[in-house]
Amino acid sequence: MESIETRYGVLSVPNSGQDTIGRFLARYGEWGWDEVLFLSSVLDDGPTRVLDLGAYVGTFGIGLASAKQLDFVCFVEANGEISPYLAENVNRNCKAPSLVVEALVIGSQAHASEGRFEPANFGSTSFAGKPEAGDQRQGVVPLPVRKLTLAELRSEHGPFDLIKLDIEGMELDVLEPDADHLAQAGTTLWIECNESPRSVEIVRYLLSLHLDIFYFAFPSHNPDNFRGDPVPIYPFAYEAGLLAAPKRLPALNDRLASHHCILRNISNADQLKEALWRTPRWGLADWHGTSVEELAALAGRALRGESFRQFLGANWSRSGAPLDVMRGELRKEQARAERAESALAEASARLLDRASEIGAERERAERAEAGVSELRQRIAEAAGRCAVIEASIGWRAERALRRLVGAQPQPVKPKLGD
Amino acid sequence: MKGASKILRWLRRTTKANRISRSRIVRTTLLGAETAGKAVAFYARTGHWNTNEHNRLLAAYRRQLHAAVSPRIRAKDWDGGKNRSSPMTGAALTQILEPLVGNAQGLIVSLSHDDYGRNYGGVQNVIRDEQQVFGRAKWLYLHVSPASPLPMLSDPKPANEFRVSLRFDGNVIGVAMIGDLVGSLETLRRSIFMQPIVHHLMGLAPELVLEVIRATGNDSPIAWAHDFFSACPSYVLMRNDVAFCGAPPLGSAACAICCYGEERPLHAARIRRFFEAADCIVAAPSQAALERWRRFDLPHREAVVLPLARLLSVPPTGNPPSRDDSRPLRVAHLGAREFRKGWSIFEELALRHAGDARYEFLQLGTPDGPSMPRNIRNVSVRVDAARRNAMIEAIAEAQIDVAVIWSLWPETFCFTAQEALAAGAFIITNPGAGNVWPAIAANAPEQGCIVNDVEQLFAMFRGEDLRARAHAAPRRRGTLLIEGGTADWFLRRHATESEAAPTTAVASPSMDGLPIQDESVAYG
Repeated sequence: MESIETRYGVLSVPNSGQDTIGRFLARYGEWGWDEVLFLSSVLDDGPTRVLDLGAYVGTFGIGLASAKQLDFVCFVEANGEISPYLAENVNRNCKAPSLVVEALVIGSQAHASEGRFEPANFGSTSFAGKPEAGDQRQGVVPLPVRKLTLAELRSEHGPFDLIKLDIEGMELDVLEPDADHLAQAGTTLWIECNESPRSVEIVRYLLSLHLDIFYFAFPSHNPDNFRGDPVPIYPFAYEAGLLAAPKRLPALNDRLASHHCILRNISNADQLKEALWRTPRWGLADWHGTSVEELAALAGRALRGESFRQFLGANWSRSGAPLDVMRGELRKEQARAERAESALAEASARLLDRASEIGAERERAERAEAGVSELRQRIAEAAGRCAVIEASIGWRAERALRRLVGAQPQPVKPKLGD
Repeated sequence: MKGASKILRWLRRTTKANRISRSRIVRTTLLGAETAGKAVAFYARTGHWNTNEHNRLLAAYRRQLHAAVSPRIRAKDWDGGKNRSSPMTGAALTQILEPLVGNAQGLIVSLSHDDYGRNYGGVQNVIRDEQQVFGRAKWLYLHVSPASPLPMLSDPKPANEFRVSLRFDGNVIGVAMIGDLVGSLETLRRSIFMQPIVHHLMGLAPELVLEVIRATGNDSPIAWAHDFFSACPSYVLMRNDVAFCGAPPLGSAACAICCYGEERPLHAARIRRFFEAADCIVAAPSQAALERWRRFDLPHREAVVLPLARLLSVPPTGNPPSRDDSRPLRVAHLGAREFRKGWSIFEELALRHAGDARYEFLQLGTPDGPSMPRNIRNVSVRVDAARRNAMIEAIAEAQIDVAVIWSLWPETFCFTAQEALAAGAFIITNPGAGNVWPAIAANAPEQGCIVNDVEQLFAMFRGEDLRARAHAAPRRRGTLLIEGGTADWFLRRHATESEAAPTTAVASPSMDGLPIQDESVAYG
């Protein structure tokens, strides 16, 4: 366990060296502060109760309670290895009355028998029953003992004015059974929005409830961060979420606008796809802090596969080949390699077939040779016996007698194998 | 005559006293003669006197158990492998290395348990392969191994007392003190980028390996998990060399009765300190090996799976051309006659079917090791750098139908399984054999089966289905494409980093939409 001085107070985190959020907290003293500022601007001034699903170490709920006066925050975390940190952080820092619940929020679909997370990101723990293609979660955590639906949470600790969902693929499953309540638009929803087909499904579902929906994206690096560190760990890496049924019409204030946050009204799935398409998710470090023109120059060169190290050097020549052309070349090379490999496999298979035939022939030859040498041995033995017979006194006497009587002696034909 | 009448008198007395009929004595005598006859016949077929199926296998385990000794005792037998050359001075070493670095892309500093140029084995082959790939990419390769190989970690020693054998781009340089090597590397690193790769820590002192790593100035060493030496001096995790233990908690009762138990606590503590300090990228030859290694909970920067070879095969076109259904089913043990490779199980299988016309048993591998029953035929095969496909070709030539790969420990890669698949043999294995079944399942699931335990294996051979099953399974045939160990992966990664240098790049999108990226070093 590590304690870090942050914008929210002293936070305990599992491992700031490897975990993404831990690293941000250690370096910048905050995580997702622009998100908190944005959410606090869309809530009513009256009494506000918040449900933080997938609270992790509590930065969202604790942050919101420090940015805006809240009546109650219910933190829910399913990962039993994280919830002790969450409880400690909430007890120490949350300015609103609060409760920490270790439970898995479930819906109608089957959930996984265990949680899986990416090794360098404990916050990615997912209990979703159907992992998406390319899911890189390899770490495993057990299921929590408690399982609750949204309706059960509401009846025990609600009502809630804002529900934040960061539950790694289970959002739709959790929301769908609560459709009747959500359709009344009494609860604002803030849902993590990754580049995933699931995000489109969520938008379609929320639109079917006739809720107002907004897309808000913010850079993971806040230039006005708690520690004043101007260098981003991940340049141009944005986080995004969907805001549904806000109490106030959302708008970017000067601060959020200066941080290059993105706000879009979403009235159909295509608008969400376009908003996601136009949201940067990664970039090269030397793109950070550049003007639009410089960025275009650097991105264009990167697209052409050019590097500054080789630029105008002895062997440099303008490749003129954009990255997709180079990719095409690469694909051709790959296809050639695949053809060569399959030819090699076929040749090897033929070679092995011939080896088997040679082996079989060799065995037949060995058997035949063994037969021949056995025959030779028998012939030699028979010849030996003939010689013994011919040398015997009886045979010689009989031969002499036969000569005398004029009869030709009949040689004894020894039987093979005698 | 006197003797015979004495015996008759004794018989009469005995039968009278014990009320045993003479016919019973005759029957017993005949039975004894029959048993003796059977034993003689069994000996004639196998060279073994023991006809008792039940205690024969136990006896093999007992022999193995009796032979198990602490690695510290075994270390005394390793004295013969010592390189007794006089160590060169640090200045001489720098003088040798400095001109060699020239215009190379970089220098790989690789460490392992012995001199890969003089010894034969899986890890040595990997090192040889990667050295060649690095060489083709204009990277230099300095290999460091203990001058006195040991079956355990070396005891901590000062750097100026620890002798290492050095090999540069495959050629022997000589012996040096590790302290001098550290000094030379510190000098060289001003002129060349260095990448440490730790293939094995056996025979080395991890504290000194750390010094070598630090001397390279590279904070991302690569450490291989070729086996489970990270958890125990018994690198295959076999308690007393007879049973897989799975690395129980330190201080457990299982360790208390094991010949490796005494060494293990200190061994584990030193290895843990090494991983804590080195912050390694861990490379494992298979996912199965990596998952097991992760259970040791050793700190590391990241982990990658780098398979040592890739199977290239073509779909089966029918029966192999020379398959003769009238001949016995050919069943083989592939590789050395080693207990941990399941040799005793295979031997017992062969003994149980001595005289069974349905089966013919073969061992494909080096003909050394314990003597084997007469009804197992050895086909001498040695896979080395010059004949990497020797085993595949031998399996095909000997027309092996079934390969029993009954490893008693979780193999981290298992070349023999890949070779058997490439040669089109049907594989029988057990669930505890590590990467054997995953390799079959990934490449040709129809070309093998998994059997839960030894009794099921014996039952399978007693039954009548094996032949039909083995012959019915479609067999793929092909070859193994040897991968370049660490080289291919590292060179790709290094190229990406170089492209991004001096500024830092980010990698593919990952968690919460954020890419995985290291703060100081970029990679793809």
